[in-house]
Amino acid sequence: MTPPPTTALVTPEELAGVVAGRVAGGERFAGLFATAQDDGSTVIRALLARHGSLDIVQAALMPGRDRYPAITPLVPPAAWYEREIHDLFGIEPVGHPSLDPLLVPVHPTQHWRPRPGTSRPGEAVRLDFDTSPLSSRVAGQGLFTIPYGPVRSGVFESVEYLVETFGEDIPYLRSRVHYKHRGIERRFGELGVDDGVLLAERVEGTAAVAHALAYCQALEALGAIHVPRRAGLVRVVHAELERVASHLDSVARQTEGAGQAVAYARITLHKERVQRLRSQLCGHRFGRGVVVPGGVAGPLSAASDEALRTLRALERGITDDARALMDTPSFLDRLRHTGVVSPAAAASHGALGPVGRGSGLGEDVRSDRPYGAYSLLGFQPAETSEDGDALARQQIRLDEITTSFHLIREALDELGEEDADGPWRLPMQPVEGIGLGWVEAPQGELVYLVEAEAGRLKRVKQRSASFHNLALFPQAFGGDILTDFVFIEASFGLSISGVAG
Amino acid sequence: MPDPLFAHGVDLGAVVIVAVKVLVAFGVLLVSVMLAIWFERKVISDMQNRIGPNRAGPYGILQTLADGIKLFFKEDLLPDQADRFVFKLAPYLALLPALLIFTIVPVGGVVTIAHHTVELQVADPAVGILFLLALSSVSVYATMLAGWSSGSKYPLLGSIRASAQMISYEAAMGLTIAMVVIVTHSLSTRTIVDSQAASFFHWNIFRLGILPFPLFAVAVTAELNRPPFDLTEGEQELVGGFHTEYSSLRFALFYLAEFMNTITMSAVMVTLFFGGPDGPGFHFVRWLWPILWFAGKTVVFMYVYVWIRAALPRLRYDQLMELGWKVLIPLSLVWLLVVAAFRVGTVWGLGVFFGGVIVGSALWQAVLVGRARREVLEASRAGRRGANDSYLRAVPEPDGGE
Repeated sequence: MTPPPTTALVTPEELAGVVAGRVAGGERFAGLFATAQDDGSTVIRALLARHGSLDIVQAALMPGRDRYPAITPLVPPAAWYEREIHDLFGIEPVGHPSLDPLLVPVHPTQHWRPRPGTSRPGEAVRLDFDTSPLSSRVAGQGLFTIPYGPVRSGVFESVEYLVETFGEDIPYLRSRVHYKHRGIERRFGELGVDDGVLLAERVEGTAAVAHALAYCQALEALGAIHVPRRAGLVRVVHAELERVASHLDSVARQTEGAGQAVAYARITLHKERVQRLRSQLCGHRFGRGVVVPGGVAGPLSAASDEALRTLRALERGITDDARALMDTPSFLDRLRHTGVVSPAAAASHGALGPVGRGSGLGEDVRSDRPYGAYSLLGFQPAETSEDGDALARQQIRLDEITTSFHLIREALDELGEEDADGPWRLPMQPVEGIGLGWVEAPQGELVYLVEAEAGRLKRVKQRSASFHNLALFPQAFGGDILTDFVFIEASFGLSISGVAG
Repeated sequence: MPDPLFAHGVDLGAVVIVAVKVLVAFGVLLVSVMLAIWFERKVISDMQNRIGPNRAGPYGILQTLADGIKLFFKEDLLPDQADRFVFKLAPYLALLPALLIFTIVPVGGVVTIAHHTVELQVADPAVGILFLLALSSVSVYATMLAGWSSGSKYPLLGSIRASAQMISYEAAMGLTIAMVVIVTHSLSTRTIVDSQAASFFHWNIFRLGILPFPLFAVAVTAELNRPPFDLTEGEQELVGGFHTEYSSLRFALFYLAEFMNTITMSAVMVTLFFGGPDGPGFHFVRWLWPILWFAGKTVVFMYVYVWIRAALPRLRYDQLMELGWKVLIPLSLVWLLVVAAFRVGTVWGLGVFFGGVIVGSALWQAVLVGRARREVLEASRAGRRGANDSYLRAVPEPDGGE
């Protein structure tokens, strides 16, 4: 169980200064989001991460007030968050350098905004989308824009990258994610706490367990519930298998980008085996339905010695192929010095997950703010790298796969020693208030802020690592050319559904 | 030596024989393309633990035919922005060189048909090698024009990459072919093959000291845009490369040309370096053995192409150019000097060889020193940049989105 978050109340005018001061004092800016209230006011909350805790700085905008001094000029990583607030609430952060639509590209003349948090029922609104092509940002002879997506070969989600280029160099890149926006945050507000987990699992397919886990942990924090030990272990098994599958996917996409047919086939085969193992253990290839508020739905549905055998074979196969892959010089040449995120840029942005660890940021929520059974299993974070290139990120992922296997084995061992008849989940009482849940998802730190009132969800805000890291994506193109695009994209390993919400 | 078929003038028999040779070569080439595509798909699936095509015909051997028929009946699209004439012309320009180059490849020995001495190859022009070089340059036009005439960005970028790549590697290819010409004293492919016939060790690969063959093989692979040099079609970043906008029959023609080129170039490798149809024969059906030897050697190279495709990752564009300009061209140039010097005399040859080694290693040292310098410089520059513009770059650019 996580301690209740400490909340500092400030005025909207003080908000930017206070957040900037705390970031300057060594805290990491971890998110910014708004909640609409029924009386017409709006609450803006900033999340600041310290070693061991996550704090909230909160400011309330009175009804009718739709402007506040922007944080972005003082804390650049807030740029996308303030654009999101502008899109969803129609509130203008004054002084923000660019308020291009991010999630809801409504026409400037349209004033309707989703404003998640209010309890009014969903309504049918006809939206006028602003679909005009973006003007190019860089001018010069021979410069043109190549659109990648929203439907393009090799891309797996609906996202549009606009690459401005002379032919090979990429001086500027923009991404438009709104094609994928599904209005998840509004939908949460219409659900009860038990149903919320079903929606959380569907935010990001590649991180279904992580989302469910973060959501449930936020609720459990609110209800002051200690999840049964065995349920915590089952959660670890599923979360780590999800990480293995997601990391293998990233590696597979790099080999595919390099046209390495055999390596691609082998790694995707390993990934498929991981998915089948997950399906054996819970009946769903993405681990949906496993994590529920208060525990897990039930025991692992395959005997743990059988799972251990499969795991051992998998681990051997993956280790062998990873070694062969990391011994292929011409493949490594594609990754080395490709998509460099300098440690300075990563630190100033607060890059999350493997992207951050590849650029020297050692933060891993599993050890910094341990949750669930991780402290029990003696988790040690993988070593970081200072190189910041695609190769560093791949090495980090391969190391994390090894760590994950280790954790799964330990968790299965512990589960084998558990008493046969104990509860798998504890009953949840109706909860009230604001709870935070965090998880190290495969893409990085995932945070859920859950605000509940009388057994119903008032506001659920999920902040996936993909959202935070995608803002950093264009910066990785420093010295790289068009052919590196696929490697940079795959090595970031982002999920657009997590970004668009 | 001129073609013996015309030694006694051109009569009706000679004309018929040439016509038959043309038809047979065309037919065999088309059928073998069909088989080559099937072979490639089957072998690569085996390497990837897959089954591959297995529906049409025994072991899926008719899959290519089925695909071809399907493509034939697909809608033929012509982009609005396209240059109509050039757009239609380009696929034929791609196919033609592949067909024509094959005509000069000796596929078998010499036989006598109706009192005519017939070389088993469509034509044996005295300038065979020049013909080969000329036609392989024509295929650059096909790629270039296809990309340019499509009136779209992806094909244009693909074709610019492709033509730069093909032109770069043509130099190394030409230099290695020049070595073959130097040792065989002839531009005629038949003479080149005959001069290798004495024994196994007379094959050019051994006579030229092994090295030219790998150089040639790499250059040809790049010339063909085959993996790992298939940047022009690197699906990820350029959608489909220079033939993105092509559909139906015209796309099929490009596809056909690609595989026909692979077959033709495998055959050219066999001709130039591996003695062509040379190999031990038996006393019955004498004419058959050389053909089998030639076919067997060609299939081996086809297999190697598939193997390479499965095993090697695609190069990055600048790495590709570096390989071409900084490795292949200097190496083949030096080796050409060595080969030429050995023609003059052994002492000269050894002198140039060791001179090359000494000068080469000195140059290499210089390159290493330069690289170390550059790395230091770049590191300090990167450090400065990281410190300075971390703020600038994290803020969305003045009017920018991200």
